[in-house]
Amino acid sequence: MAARKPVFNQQVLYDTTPLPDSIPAVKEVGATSAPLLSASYFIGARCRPYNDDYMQCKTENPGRGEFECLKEGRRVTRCAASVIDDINKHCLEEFRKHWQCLDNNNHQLWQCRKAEWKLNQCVFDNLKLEKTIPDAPKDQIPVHLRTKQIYAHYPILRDRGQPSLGKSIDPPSAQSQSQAPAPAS
Amino acid sequence: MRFQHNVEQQPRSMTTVGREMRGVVNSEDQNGTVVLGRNLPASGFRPGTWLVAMGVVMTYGFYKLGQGNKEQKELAREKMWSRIHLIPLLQAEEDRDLVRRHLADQAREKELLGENFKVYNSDRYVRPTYAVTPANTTK
Repeated sequence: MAARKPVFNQQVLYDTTPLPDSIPAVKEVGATSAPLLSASYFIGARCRPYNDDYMQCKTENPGRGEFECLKEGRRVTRCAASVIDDINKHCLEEFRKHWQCLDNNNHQLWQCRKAEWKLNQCVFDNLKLEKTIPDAPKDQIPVHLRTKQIYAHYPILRDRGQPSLGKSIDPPSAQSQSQAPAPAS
Repeated sequence: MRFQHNVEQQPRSMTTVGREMRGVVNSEDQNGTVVLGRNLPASGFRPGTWLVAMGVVMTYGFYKLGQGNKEQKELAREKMWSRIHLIPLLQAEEDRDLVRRHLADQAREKELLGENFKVYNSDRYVRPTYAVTPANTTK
């Protein structure tokens, strides 16, 4: 029942009463859908334990989760906000490019791979967070690393002077591993 | 003139089919019956060739379809997991808002009626059907 939508919602239901002081305040994330989608895998990479805690709390308190899980909920929000803040701090340019691309392409991730690779690289270099898709088949190239996206409107072209892309690009962690021994030797 | 011209074009015997056809060879056998015979080269490819060609085209098409379906499945997985990572965040925000409104409602009720009535015969949180909208909102 908790998921029932309010019936009379033709108007915005204002209620500006703040939470009582007994419940600690937390600043909401405040990001819109495109930045959230763009950052979702990094939120997942850093905040998975908090997210799982929260969802477990919700499952264990059916019908009361709204009240019982406020603490876990605050942790989830703080963690996600920290990820967004860090991305904004270190990779603002790439982040903007990617989520604006998503906004312009109907939130279809496969239209924005190039921007996504740059963002992934930057986020891995600075925050050590990497996008991995859980449960993806092991014998296939992860879909976000394929250089040929069947459903994309335009093929992914290499930059001027860049060697040809091949079938897939390396994930950021593999790239840093292959680059790391080179300066050491 | 036109009529005569047409007469000239008439076939010579009634046994031939009523139009002149390319490659039509008629011959008479011993009984004097006219046997219609045609020695046309068969037009187009042999049926077997068509069948094989169709098979090739269809195999290619189904192969491409299979590739697309496989990629679509992976894209769906990607989208689903991005949503899974976001849901706790969105739900937590929504829950906080609901709790805030609920507590404000309870406080308002207490102020007006002096006590909070237990409306439902359970402790579950029920999303309100009706909401009070203040006459003047300050933001």
